[in-house]
Amino acid sequence: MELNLAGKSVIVTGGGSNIGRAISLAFAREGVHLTIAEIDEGQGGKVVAEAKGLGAASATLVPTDVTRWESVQAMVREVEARAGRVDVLVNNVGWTYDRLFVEKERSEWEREIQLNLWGMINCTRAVLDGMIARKAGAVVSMGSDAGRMGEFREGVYGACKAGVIALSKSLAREVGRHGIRLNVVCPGMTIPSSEEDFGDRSMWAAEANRAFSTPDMQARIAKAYPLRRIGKPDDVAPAVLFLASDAAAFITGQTLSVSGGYTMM
Amino acid sequence: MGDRFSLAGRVALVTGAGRGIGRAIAVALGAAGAAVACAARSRDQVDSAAAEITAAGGRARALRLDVTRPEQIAAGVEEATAALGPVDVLVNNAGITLDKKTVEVTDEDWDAVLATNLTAMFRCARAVAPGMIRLERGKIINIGSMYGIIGVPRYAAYCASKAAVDGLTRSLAVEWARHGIQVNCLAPGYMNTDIPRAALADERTRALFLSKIPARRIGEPEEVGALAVYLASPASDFMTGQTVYLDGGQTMAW
Repeated sequence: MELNLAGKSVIVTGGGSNIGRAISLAFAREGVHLTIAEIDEGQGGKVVAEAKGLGAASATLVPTDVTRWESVQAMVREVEARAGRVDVLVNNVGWTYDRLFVEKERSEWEREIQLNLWGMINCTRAVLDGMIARKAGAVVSMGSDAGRMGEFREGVYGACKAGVIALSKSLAREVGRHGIRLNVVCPGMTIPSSEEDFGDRSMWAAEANRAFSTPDMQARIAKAYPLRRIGKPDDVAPAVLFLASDAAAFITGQTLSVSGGYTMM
Repeated sequence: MGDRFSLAGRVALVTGAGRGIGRAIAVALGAAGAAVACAARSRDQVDSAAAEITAAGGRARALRLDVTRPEQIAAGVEEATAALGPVDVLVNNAGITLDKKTVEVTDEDWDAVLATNLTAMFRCARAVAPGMIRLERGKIINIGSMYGIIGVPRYAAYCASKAAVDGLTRSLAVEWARHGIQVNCLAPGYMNTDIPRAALADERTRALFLSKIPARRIGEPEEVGALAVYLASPASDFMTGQTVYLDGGQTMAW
């Protein structure tokens, strides 16, 4: 099935590492004009180079701090000036630190809220004016099963992801009449397969999260998933592309768990 | 990415493929490369659906099948397998509706809706699963409905049957996950097919309906086809037990 994404202007936030990288490269293979909005310029630059090699119509890194409104506005203005418009926004930036709620520092909660929720609010707000004017657009945001079901050691992170889901639904109601769709994809735990696949600013560089990368821990985690394996970044990329494409033109306000059956509701 | 949405080499069995949503799904699966067994009660309709697929360059087999007759299900799976190969995609689409005041619904009415919309779905899944388990691969797409999650007057049997499809989907998804089978539910909202089209012919009814749909339109059967291709293809291999609503945002269940 052709998704007819060639030539679309697509922004992937956090497109340099892990899931964001896989999404960026999947869009590149479809021939889109790809913008990687990324705070880690080194990692983002590597993926831009890979994207060009895979067939992107163009690939550009725009250094962006999604937690800062001015930075996000400047990024979207740059894309609109260069590519003429934003057809698709993928809110992929996400961050958490594996620790019980009562043991977490307030500063870590604040960082989680900034990156997971404010980042999504900022980027979505910034692209909507152009999408409303053109009466077209798709926003796909990365949620989490933690935001649907709750999860150990992911309290505030889960609250942020629940916020991403609820905001997507509310906006889907508000802007559906303008031909704009918002949907959410919830991956399961998706551990990078290689050190090359994420940068120093990625959550996977954090010490507490490195514990997940041991074979013993991964074998234990896999048992929690009915499909009996841990998700790979390439597992969720097709869902994002599908929802971003016109093939999903009548799908909006939906939350898709692509997580090996971990959550079914 | 295109290749992950490809169904080349796959064999699909679609029930209720004679018209409407089922036919659109069968045609879309065929266009994506699957060989499609088009099953329905009407010989004329399945012949025409299969002909549409072959005319477009695909492979198809017309299958006369009443899903409420268990012996016909077994024979249908056998015939599809003999003609096209082992079935690795099942689209459980056959369904009927009932629009009637609940106090006037007879036992026969109720049983007919549950027999077609729920029991037949279980039987078709049970019939194809052994083959999928042997292949260690399979996709089952159960066609649910937005009515499975919202309350609609005069549709008690239909709403109950479609809510049950969600339960069936999740149970099969967990039970067969270890065999590489993914089971998901595709739940359409109002689609541009015979029954809603007739209801929406009235201008005031149409305005009322559309005011409840954020997308401000009803869906096209081809859009169900596109979602079915995603759910039937390797693109959705890590997704199971999910219900995906294709309803322009009318329901946004958590």
